[in-house]
Amino acid sequence: MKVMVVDDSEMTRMIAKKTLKNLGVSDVLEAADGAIALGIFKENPADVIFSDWNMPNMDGLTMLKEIRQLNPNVPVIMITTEGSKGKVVQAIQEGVSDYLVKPFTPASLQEKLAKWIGVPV
Amino acid sequence: MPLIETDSATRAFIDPVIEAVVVMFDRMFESGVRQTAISSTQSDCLFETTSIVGLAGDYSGSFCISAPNETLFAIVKRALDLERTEVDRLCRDSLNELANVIAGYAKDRLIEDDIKLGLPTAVQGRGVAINYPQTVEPVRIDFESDMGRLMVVFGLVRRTKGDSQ
Repeated sequence: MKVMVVDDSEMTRMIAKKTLKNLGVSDVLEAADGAIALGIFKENPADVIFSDWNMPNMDGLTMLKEIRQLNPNVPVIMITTEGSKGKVVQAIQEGVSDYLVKPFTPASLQEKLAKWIGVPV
Repeated sequence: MPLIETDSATRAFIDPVIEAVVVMFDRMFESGVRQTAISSTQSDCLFETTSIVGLAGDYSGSFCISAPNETLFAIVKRALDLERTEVDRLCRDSLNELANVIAGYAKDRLIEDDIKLGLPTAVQGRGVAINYPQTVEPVRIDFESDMGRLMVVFGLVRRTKGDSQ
Protein backbone atom coordinates (compact mmCIF):
# COMPACT_ATOMS: atom_id res chain seq x y z
CA MET A 1 0.00 0.00 0.00
CA LYS A 2 1.20 3.46 -0.90
CA VAL A 3 0.04 6.52 1.03
CA MET A 4 0.76 10.15 0.18
CA VAL A 5 0.79 12.88 2.85
CA VAL A 6 0.36 16.43 1.56
CA ASP A 7 0.93 19.25 4.05
CA ASP A 8 3.01 22.41 4.10
CA SER A 9 3.88 21.66 7.71
CA GLU A 10 6.99 19.54 7.92
CA MET A 11 6.07 18.63 11.49
CA THR A 12 2.68 17.30 10.44
CA ARG A 13 4.23 15.31 7.59
CA MET A 14 6.80 13.82 9.93
CA ILE A 15 4.20 12.87 12.52
CA ALA A 16 1.94 11.35 9.85
CA LYS A 17 4.82 9.45 8.28
CA LYS A 18 5.95 8.07 11.64
CA THR A 19 2.39 7.06 12.52
CA LEU A 20 1.86 5.38 9.16
CA LYS A 21 5.13 3.48 9.47
CA ASN A 22 4.05 2.31 12.92
CA LEU A 23 0.81 1.11 11.35
CA GLY A 24 2.77 -0.96 8.86
CA VAL A 25 2.64 1.35 5.86
CA SER A 26 6.15 1.21 4.43
CA ASP A 27 5.63 3.30 1.32
CA VAL A 28 4.84 6.88 2.33
CA LEU A 29 5.15 9.70 -0.19
CA GLU A 30 5.39 13.32 0.97
CA ALA A 31 4.54 16.63 -0.64
CA ALA A 32 4.66 20.17 0.76
CA ASP A 33 1.84 21.53 -1.42
CA GLY A 34 -0.79 20.49 -3.92
CA ALA A 35 1.31 21.20 -7.00
CA ILE A 36 4.14 18.97 -5.79
CA ALA A 37 1.64 16.29 -4.85
CA LEU A 38 0.04 16.41 -8.27
CA GLY A 39 3.42 15.95 -9.94
CA ILE A 40 4.23 12.98 -7.73
CA PHE A 41 0.81 11.43 -8.27
CA LYS A 42 1.17 11.54 -12.04
CA GLU A 43 4.42 9.58 -11.85
CA ASN A 44 3.74 7.45 -8.83
CA PRO A 45 0.03 7.16 -7.90
CA ALA A 46 -0.78 6.57 -4.25
CA ASP A 47 -3.56 4.31 -2.99
CA VAL A 48 -4.71 6.86 -0.42
CA ILE A 49 -4.00 10.59 -0.09
CA PHE A 50 -4.11 12.57 3.15
CA SER A 51 -4.03 16.26 2.32
CA ASP A 52 -4.06 19.55 4.18
CA TRP A 53 -6.49 22.22 3.02
CA ASN A 54 -4.63 25.52 3.27
CA MET A 55 -1.28 25.37 1.52
CA PRO A 56 0.80 27.77 -0.55
CA ASN A 57 1.08 27.41 -4.35
CA MET A 58 -1.81 24.98 -4.73
CA ASP A 59 -4.36 24.34 -1.96
CA GLY A 60 -5.93 21.00 -1.17
CA LEU A 61 -9.19 21.64 -2.96
CA THR A 62 -7.52 22.62 -6.22
CA MET A 63 -5.28 19.59 -5.98
CA LEU A 64 -8.32 17.39 -5.37
CA LYS A 65 -10.00 18.60 -8.57
CA GLU A 66 -6.85 17.82 -10.56
CA ILE A 67 -6.46 14.41 -8.94
CA ARG A 68 -10.09 13.56 -9.74
CA GLN A 69 -9.38 14.20 -13.42
CA LEU A 70 -6.62 11.61 -13.23
CA ASN A 71 -8.31 9.14 -10.92
CA PRO A 72 -11.94 9.54 -9.81
CA ASN A 73 -11.70 6.77 -7.25
CA VAL A 74 -8.55 7.26 -5.19
CA PRO A 75 -9.55 8.10 -1.60
CA VAL A 76 -8.56 11.69 -0.75
CA ILE A 77 -8.90 12.51 2.93
CA MET A 78 -8.67 16.16 3.91
CA ILE A 79 -6.72 17.02 7.04
CA THR A 80 -8.32 20.10 8.50
CA THR A 81 -8.25 22.23 11.62
CA GLU A 82 -11.32 22.44 13.81
CA GLY A 83 -11.98 25.84 12.34
CA SER A 84 -12.25 24.56 8.80
CA LYS A 85 -14.71 21.77 9.46
CA GLY A 86 -17.41 23.95 7.96
CA LYS A 87 -15.68 23.63 4.63
CA VAL A 88 -16.12 19.86 4.69
CA VAL A 89 -19.51 20.04 3.01
CA GLN A 90 -17.99 22.00 0.16
CA ALA A 91 -15.10 19.57 0.00
CA ILE A 92 -17.38 16.53 -0.18
CA GLN A 93 -19.33 18.20 -2.98
CA GLU A 94 -16.04 18.66 -4.79
CA GLY A 95 -15.19 14.99 -4.40
CA VAL A 96 -13.25 14.63 -1.17
CA SER A 97 -13.75 11.21 0.38
CA ASP A 98 -13.44 12.00 4.09
CA TYR A 99 -11.78 14.34 6.57
CA LEU A 100 -9.48 14.10 9.54
CA VAL A 101 -9.25 16.84 12.18
CA LYS A 102 -5.85 18.18 13.24
CA PRO A 103 -4.12 17.29 15.43
CA PHE A 104 -4.90 13.69 14.55
CA THR A 105 -4.19 10.71 16.74
CA PRO A 106 -2.69 7.39 15.58
CA ALA A 107 -6.10 5.81 16.24
CA SER A 108 -7.95 8.32 14.05
CA LEU A 109 -5.44 7.88 11.21
CA GLN A 110 -5.72 4.11 11.51
CA GLU A 111 -9.52 4.34 11.46
CA LYS A 112 -9.49 6.30 8.19
CA LEU A 113 -7.03 3.91 6.59
CA ALA A 114 -9.10 0.89 7.59
CA LYS A 115 -12.27 2.58 6.33
CA TRP A 116 -10.89 3.48 2.91
CA ILE A 117 -8.65 0.56 2.24
CA GLY A 118 -11.25 -1.82 3.49
CA VAL A 119 -9.01 -3.84 5.77
CA PRO A 120 -7.47 -3.07 9.15
CA VAL A 121 -3.81 -2.10 8.99
CA MET B 1 -15.91 52.55 6.07
CA PRO B 2 -15.56 52.68 9.85
CA LEU B 3 -14.64 49.62 11.86
CA ILE B 4 -16.78 48.91 14.92
CA GLU B 5 -16.66 46.84 18.09
CA THR B 6 -12.95 47.42 18.32
CA ASP B 7 -12.38 46.02 21.77
CA SER B 8 -15.31 43.64 22.06
CA ALA B 9 -14.12 41.62 19.08
CA THR B 10 -10.74 41.07 20.71
CA ARG B 11 -12.32 40.32 24.08
CA ALA B 12 -14.65 37.76 22.54
CA PHE B 13 -11.63 35.85 21.32
CA ILE B 14 -9.98 35.54 24.77
CA ASP B 15 -11.86 32.55 26.19
CA PRO B 16 -11.77 30.56 22.91
CA VAL B 17 -8.02 31.16 22.68
CA ILE B 18 -7.38 29.99 26.25
CA GLU B 19 -9.49 26.89 25.65
CA ALA B 20 -7.71 26.25 22.36
CA VAL B 21 -4.24 26.39 23.90
CA VAL B 22 -5.23 24.01 26.69
CA VAL B 23 -6.96 21.53 24.36
CA MET B 24 -4.27 21.61 21.66
CA PHE B 25 -1.39 21.16 24.11
CA ASP B 26 -3.17 18.15 25.53
CA ARG B 27 -3.93 16.65 22.11
CA MET B 28 -0.61 17.40 20.43
CA PHE B 29 1.83 16.97 23.28
CA GLU B 30 -0.12 15.36 26.14
CA SER B 31 1.05 18.39 28.07
CA GLY B 32 -0.77 20.38 30.71
CA VAL B 33 -0.68 24.13 30.25
CA ARG B 34 -2.00 26.92 32.41
CA GLN B 35 -2.67 30.56 31.82
CA THR B 36 -0.44 32.71 34.04
CA ALA B 37 -1.28 36.26 33.03
CA ILE B 38 -3.48 38.31 30.76
CA SER B 39 -2.94 41.93 29.85
CA SER B 40 -3.44 44.55 27.21
CA THR B 41 -0.30 45.41 25.38
CA GLN B 42 0.67 48.16 23.00
CA SER B 43 4.32 47.23 22.85
CA ASP B 44 5.84 44.31 21.01
CA CYS B 45 7.40 42.44 23.89
CA LEU B 46 7.75 39.08 22.25
CA PHE B 47 9.89 36.00 22.81
CA GLU B 48 12.60 35.00 20.35
CA THR B 49 10.35 33.38 17.73
CA THR B 50 6.81 34.36 16.79
CA SER B 51 4.30 32.82 14.41
CA ILE B 52 1.86 35.30 12.91
CA VAL B 53 -1.52 34.42 11.41
CA GLY B 54 -3.47 37.08 9.57
CA LEU B 55 -7.23 37.20 10.16
CA ALA B 56 -9.70 38.08 7.43
CA GLY B 57 -13.33 37.42 6.53
CA ASP B 58 -15.70 39.00 9.06
CA TYR B 59 -12.67 40.21 11.02
CA SER B 60 -9.44 42.02 10.42
CA GLY B 61 -6.41 41.53 12.63
CA SER B 62 -3.48 39.37 13.65
CA PHE B 63 -3.04 36.34 15.85
CA CYS B 64 0.43 35.47 17.15
CA ILE B 65 2.09 32.81 19.22
CA SER B 66 5.50 33.64 20.58
CA ALA B 67 7.89 31.28 22.35
CA PRO B 68 11.42 31.31 23.73
CA ASN B 69 13.98 29.01 22.14
CA GLU B 70 13.82 26.49 24.98
CA THR B 71 10.10 26.02 24.49
CA LEU B 72 10.57 25.45 20.76
CA PHE B 73 13.26 22.84 21.43
CA ALA B 74 10.95 21.10 23.89
CA ILE B 75 8.07 21.11 21.40
CA VAL B 76 10.21 19.53 18.68
CA LYS B 77 11.53 16.99 21.17
CA ARG B 78 8.04 16.10 22.39
CA ALA B 79 6.35 15.98 18.98
CA LEU B 80 9.12 14.47 16.88
CA ASP B 81 11.66 13.11 19.36
CA LEU B 82 14.37 15.25 17.77
CA GLU B 83 16.99 17.26 19.63
CA ARG B 84 17.50 20.89 18.67
CA THR B 85 19.96 23.44 20.07
CA GLU B 86 19.34 26.18 17.52
CA VAL B 87 16.11 27.49 16.06
CA ASP B 88 15.89 26.06 12.56
CA ARG B 89 13.24 25.54 9.90
CA LEU B 90 11.67 22.65 11.79
CA CYS B 91 11.37 24.72 14.98
CA ARG B 92 9.70 27.56 13.07
CA ASP B 93 7.48 25.11 11.22
CA SER B 94 6.38 23.52 14.49
CA LEU B 95 5.43 26.90 15.95
CA ASN B 96 3.54 27.73 12.75
CA GLU B 97 1.58 24.51 12.97
CA LEU B 98 0.79 25.16 16.61
CA ALA B 99 -0.46 28.64 15.70
CA ASN B 100 -2.51 27.16 12.88
CA VAL B 101 -4.35 24.59 15.00
CA ILE B 102 -4.86 26.92 17.97
CA ALA B 103 -6.22 29.74 15.82
CA GLY B 104 -8.37 27.20 13.96
CA TYR B 105 -9.81 25.78 17.15
CA ALA B 106 -10.47 29.22 18.61
CA LYS B 107 -12.22 30.49 15.51
CA ASP B 108 -14.42 27.39 15.49
CA ARG B 109 -15.76 28.56 18.87
CA LEU B 110 -17.04 31.74 17.23
CA ILE B 111 -19.32 29.71 15.03
CA GLU B 112 -21.62 32.52 13.97
CA ASP B 113 -18.77 34.39 12.36
CA ASP B 114 -16.71 33.77 9.28
CA ILE B 115 -13.05 34.16 10.16
CA LYS B 116 -10.54 33.32 7.49
CA LEU B 117 -7.05 32.38 8.62
CA GLY B 118 -4.00 33.19 6.57
CA LEU B 119 -1.01 30.90 6.34
CA PRO B 120 1.18 31.27 9.44
CA THR B 121 4.55 32.97 9.10
CA ALA B 122 7.33 32.58 11.65
CA VAL B 123 9.62 35.51 12.39
CA GLN B 124 12.55 35.79 14.77
CA GLY B 125 13.47 38.66 17.05
CA ARG B 126 11.96 40.20 20.15
CA GLY B 127 11.33 43.53 18.50
CA VAL B 128 9.22 42.33 15.61
CA ALA B 129 6.42 44.75 14.80
CA ILE B 130 3.04 43.11 14.32
CA ASN B 131 0.37 44.85 12.31
CA TYR B 132 -2.87 45.20 14.21
CA PRO B 133 -5.84 47.32 13.18
CA GLN B 134 -5.17 50.90 14.19
CA THR B 135 -7.93 51.16 16.76
CA VAL B 136 -7.14 47.90 18.51
CA GLU B 137 -5.24 47.39 21.72
CA PRO B 138 -3.91 43.83 21.44
CA VAL B 139 -4.39 41.31 24.23
CA ARG B 140 -1.49 39.24 25.51
CA ILE B 141 -2.07 35.93 27.30
CA ASP B 142 0.86 34.18 28.95
CA PHE B 143 1.00 30.43 29.45
CA GLU B 144 3.28 28.04 31.30
CA SER B 145 3.60 24.36 30.46
CA ASP B 146 6.00 21.55 31.26
CA MET B 147 7.67 22.43 27.94
CA GLY B 148 8.20 26.05 28.95
CA ARG B 149 6.61 29.45 28.51
CA LEU B 150 4.78 30.92 25.55
CA MET B 151 2.45 33.81 24.89
CA VAL B 152 -0.46 34.42 22.58
CA VAL B 153 -1.05 37.97 21.37
CA PHE B 154 -3.95 39.02 19.21
CA GLY B 155 -5.99 42.00 18.19
CA LEU B 156 -8.92 42.06 15.83
CA VAL B 157 -11.92 44.08 14.78
CA ARG B 158 -15.14 43.08 13.15
CA ARG B 159 -15.51 44.38 9.65
CA THR B 160 -18.54 46.28 8.52
CA LYS B 161 -20.05 45.71 5.11
CA GLY B 162 -18.09 47.52 2.51
CA ASP B 163 -14.72 47.24 4.25
CA SER B 164 -12.02 46.21 1.88
CA GLN B 165 -10.09 43.09 2.84
